[in-house]
Amino acid sequence: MKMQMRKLTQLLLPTMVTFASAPVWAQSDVEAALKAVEEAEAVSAPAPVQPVEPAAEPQEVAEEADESIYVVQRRVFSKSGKFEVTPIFYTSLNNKFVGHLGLAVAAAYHLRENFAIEVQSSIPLAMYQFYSALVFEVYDHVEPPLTPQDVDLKQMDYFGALSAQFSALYGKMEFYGILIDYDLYATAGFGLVSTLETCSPPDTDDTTACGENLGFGKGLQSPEAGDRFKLSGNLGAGMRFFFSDHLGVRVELRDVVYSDKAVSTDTTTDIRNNVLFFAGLTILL
Amino acid sequence: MRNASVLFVLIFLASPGANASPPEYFDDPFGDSDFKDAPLILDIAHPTKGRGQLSLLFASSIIDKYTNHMGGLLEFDYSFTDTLGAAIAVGLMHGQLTNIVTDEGGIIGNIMQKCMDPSANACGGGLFPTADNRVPDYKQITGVIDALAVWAPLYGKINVVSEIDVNLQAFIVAGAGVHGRREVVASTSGSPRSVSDYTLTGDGFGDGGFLDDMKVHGTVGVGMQVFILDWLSLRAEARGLLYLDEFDFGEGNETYLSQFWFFQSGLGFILF
Repeated sequence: MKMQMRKLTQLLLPTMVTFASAPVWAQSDVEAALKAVEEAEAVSAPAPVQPVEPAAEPQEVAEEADESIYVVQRRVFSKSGKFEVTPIFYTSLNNKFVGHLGLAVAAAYHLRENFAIEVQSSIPLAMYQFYSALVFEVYDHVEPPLTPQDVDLKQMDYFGALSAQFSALYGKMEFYGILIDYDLYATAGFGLVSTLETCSPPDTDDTTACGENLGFGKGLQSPEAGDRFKLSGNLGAGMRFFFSDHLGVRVELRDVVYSDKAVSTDTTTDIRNNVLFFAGLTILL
Repeated sequence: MRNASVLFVLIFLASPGANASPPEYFDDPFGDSDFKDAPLILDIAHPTKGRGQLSLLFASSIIDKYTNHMGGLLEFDYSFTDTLGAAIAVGLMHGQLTNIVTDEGGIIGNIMQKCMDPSANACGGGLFPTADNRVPDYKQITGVIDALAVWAPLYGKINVVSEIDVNLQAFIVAGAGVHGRREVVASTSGSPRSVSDYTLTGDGFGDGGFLDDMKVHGTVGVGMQVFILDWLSLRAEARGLLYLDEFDFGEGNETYLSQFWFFQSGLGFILF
């Protein structure tokens, strides 16, 4: 019984302290506010004779009278309750075998100052995929020619995601006397990815079956319907720089992770990590 | 387990009470611009001009092709103005071949499979790289000396818990230097027993010297440092080492731009 009481006390004590802290701060605020009002009255010049207005309610003064100097004050932007639209340019950073670059668009709704829900989608016609020099090097310069595993050669041709954004940290930077507001955010969510797979082009001029030879003995084709789309995880972090109430720039690093497989002579599987760098113009509506 | 659940519930219930109202939109509640002090953003706690800083950085290569590099870098920075400075850096690197080279299905493994084919001529001796079997960017970096210009135009603060004064600075570096290189060689016996029956030479720690097979390179980088104490900062940066090399792409030796990219992080000690 004594043991249970001790456990209960251990549980309740931090909670009570947490609950109690708010009134304690509030009390401090009241005292600070009243002191600030008294000081302001003391140093002000003698007021002309005017009808005396009724004094503000003490509770109102307590709520507003915080003149502490914070590290970062006077943010030029507020996101809470606003929509944010961002056209984005992106490029992949870990182009071991395959690289991607293109355009995307993101729309976010900021439920709170530090929390948002975002929908993001690449623009299919504005996405360019390419093979890195490494793919051609090991094919051209090594005898016998080498090609990476088929699953490593699959190209992502679409990505979209629904993510939650948490932006707890914000600050200001000085650039030759100009103050730039920024905030840092972390983002996580789920999405959809579509991929293209490699195939062996026939020894004819018919490029409809498997596309043309890309230079290492393989072509590209859309996979069977069942394997084209796959669920992805999205994890990233970024920064927003705001220059006015509605306009800013945003940069982000995002890892689009999904499981992929290629079925040819052998079935090869892999967890694909596409680390993308995003740069966009952000518009708060 | 139940206690933990109860604790989480209580914390969630308690959180609204502890949720302090954000100060940023009420920084002047009386509208009289009567602040006690100037905003801290104007207080540059770590002035750049005249600052001397010694940094110890851990370097790890990114976007690796045939080699993973790891190493350390010692850098001294001095700032002549609020935004411009210079730096000297000395680094040691150790390279390790990636699985693209060493796997059974990789470059060496593939050559070994060919060697083990009874119908093929036995290989013996050098396997890779040879005159017929060579890839660009295969050589590993051993040592680096750099002279750099530093441009640090962005100095800022971040709001962590409102009153803690966390300063940070973003910077760009560009310069030139020299680096040493080494080449790891794979060889096998005349009658290999398996695809992994080969030996690598020149891949040990310190093999290849410091500036042997020296090349001149250009360096570019971008980074950020966060000041955590008056004399200590955390640094993180991405740095590229670019140099002109030659390779036979099929029509004789051609000059091409070889690139190695590193992520570097570590501590900066502000000396003065």
